[in-house]
Amino acid sequence: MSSCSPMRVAVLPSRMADMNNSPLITASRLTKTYGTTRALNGVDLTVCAGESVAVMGPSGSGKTTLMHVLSGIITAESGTMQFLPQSTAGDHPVTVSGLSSEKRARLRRQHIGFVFQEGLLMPELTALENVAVALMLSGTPRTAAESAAARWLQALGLAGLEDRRPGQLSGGQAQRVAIARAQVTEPQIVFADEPTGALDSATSAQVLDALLDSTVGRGAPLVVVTHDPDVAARCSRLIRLEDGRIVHDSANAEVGT
Amino acid sequence: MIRLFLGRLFADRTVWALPVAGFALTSGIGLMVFGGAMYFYTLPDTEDRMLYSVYATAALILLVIPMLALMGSAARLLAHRRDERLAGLRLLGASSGQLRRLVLAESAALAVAGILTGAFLYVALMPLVGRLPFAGAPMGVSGLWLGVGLLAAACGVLLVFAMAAAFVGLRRVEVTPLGVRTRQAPQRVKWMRAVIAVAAVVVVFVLHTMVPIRGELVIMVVAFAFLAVPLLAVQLIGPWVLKLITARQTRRAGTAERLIAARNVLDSPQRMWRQVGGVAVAAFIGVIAGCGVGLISLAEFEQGSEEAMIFADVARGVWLTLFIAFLLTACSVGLNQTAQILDQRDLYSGLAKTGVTLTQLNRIRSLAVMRALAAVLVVAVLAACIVAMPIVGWAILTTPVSVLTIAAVLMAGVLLIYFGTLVTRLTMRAVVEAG
Ligand SMILES: Nc1ncnc2c1ncn2[C@@H]1O[C@H](COP(=O)(O)OP(=O)(O)O)[C@@H](O)[C@H]1O
Ligand SMILES: [Mg+2]
Repeated sequence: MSSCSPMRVAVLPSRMADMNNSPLITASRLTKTYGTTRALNGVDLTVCAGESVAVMGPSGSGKTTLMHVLSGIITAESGTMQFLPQSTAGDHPVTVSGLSSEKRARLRRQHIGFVFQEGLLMPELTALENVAVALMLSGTPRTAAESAAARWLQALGLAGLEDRRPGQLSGGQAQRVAIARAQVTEPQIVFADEPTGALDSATSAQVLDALLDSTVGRGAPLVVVTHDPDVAARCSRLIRLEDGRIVHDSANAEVGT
Repeated sequence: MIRLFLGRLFADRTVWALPVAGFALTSGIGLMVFGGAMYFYTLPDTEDRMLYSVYATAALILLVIPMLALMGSAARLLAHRRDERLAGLRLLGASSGQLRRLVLAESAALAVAGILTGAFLYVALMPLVGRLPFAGAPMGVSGLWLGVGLLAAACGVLLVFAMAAAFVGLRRVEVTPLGVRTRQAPQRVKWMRAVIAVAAVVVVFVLHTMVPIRGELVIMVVAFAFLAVPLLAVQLIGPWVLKLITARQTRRAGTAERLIAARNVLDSPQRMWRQVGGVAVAAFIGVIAGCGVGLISLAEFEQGSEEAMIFADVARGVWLTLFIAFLLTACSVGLNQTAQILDQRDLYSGLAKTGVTLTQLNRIRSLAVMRALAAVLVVAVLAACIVAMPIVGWAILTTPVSVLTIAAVLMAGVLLIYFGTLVTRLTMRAVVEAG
């Protein structure tokens, strides 16, 4: 059974000890097939609070599929996927694979943050509204949602751009708005699928810093799918997928790039 | 090369289905309306014929704008995803001239397919529509049948319109050595639209003169100018009023769905006006004519008298015109909303991934349409009440039943358009499920 520490023992004992080390997601023996393609072929994985996990691997190796199963967007054919919410008292483990699609949607809306390669911001809405809407969709009143959104935009260095449309923002700015949108609900975990894939390397570094600070800084884990070794190097843990299997899992200092 | 391009066109259902459906609906409804109008123009030569042709002309003019809007939607759908296919050909080494010819060939192919389907719809529905009684007898299949010559001519006119609309779309597509992209030139579009509207009005007018009408021609011209000028003015003012109302809705929106819906309309009031604006004039005239009809009905007609018959026909004609306007709008809404969902498929599937439910996504789209529609209707009805205060006020006092009938008809029309938005849910579900 997998545990929070990578397969090979981590070399950062002091840092690991500082973190809240309880598991947030445990997945075991996940499989997912599309036609004859085994997108996931028996994946075991546990993600703990405070971790930042880089998921690498060749294109088609199942990275996106894994992220979708871990976040409850899709369900695996076999294996179990548990979500163990931590912050609020009384929350108990949820077996995500057994939930209806409505309940999984609610789980995602309330507890999970997402950042995609293209920001997928709504072009008609201002930056502020794009962020606020994430809270409003779960029933937060508009004024409260907008002030929370303004705080997050400011935290991400976007003060003054609240009224811009996505079309009036640079790629890096738009991606930081997307990060603010993912964080404003204070999700327990954030998933990012190639969040810097469309950016140049300098902007990439800034966006990744913003993503790491805003997620791990809150104590929530970050799972980031990436092709960029620089991005992977900044995460605390690195997983490599090939043909739907985890072929490598280690604390990052061991890996280098 | 052309064959290759057209082959690709019909290989992908998501490319051709919507524009063909759009052209088919426009042509089908258009031909039926034209057939109905011809029935009145060719009534036996009595004094009534003139009266009936004036009414038919008024109805035709009222329906021209929603009809053009639907045709324009079909043409825009045709441009939908054209850029990416052209860019592919560009890479294969096609020249700009070749690309232009291809776009025209493609438009022609889709328009012809749509118009033929529409002609088939017209023929297939004639027995049903022919049951409507006017001028003392059901119109019948023979009454609605245009004849081969006129049908072919009408299809030709539809094709010319379709190609003109497609050409307007083409002007917005810029062909550069690097590829093909959509040019942003809203003013030019507006100007071209006005020209098309005027051209359409001229064509309708010319069609009338082809038909044997003698002394009543003068009356026609007067009636035409009387109706057409304010109609065109409404087309210019409508989007602006919609913008004002939606800006207010945006500020006051309390839920995410309302905020997104209002922003969506505000982003391009013209785009939403093109979809629902057609009902403005229909509702305006419907309220006044409906009240007028109600007041006239207070007079006691002799059972079976000619006056009673004409009166019943006018009442039926008013409701029928209103129904067709709403039907055209429902089609336009269904097509445009579907196209918008397809254009933003990545956004919607991404939102669904973050946990936004299908119900919420659908509500956003319905709210955008229905709140804009409500704004348009309220303004139109208020305007009618103000302009025709004596008629409307007197009708409310003396024949509340006919006022209630008007309200019921408008509600039914709103329901019809709501059904138009329901159709788009299939597309939204497919987009979300495709991930
Ligand atoms: N919705 C789908 N339908 C069919 N095949 C899919 C679908 N999603 C993913 N696949 C297949 O599953 C495999 C893994 O895909 P994915 O997880 O997207 O890989 P990665 O993100 O690592 O590039 C690929 O072979 C891909 O073609
Ligand atoms: Mg992927």
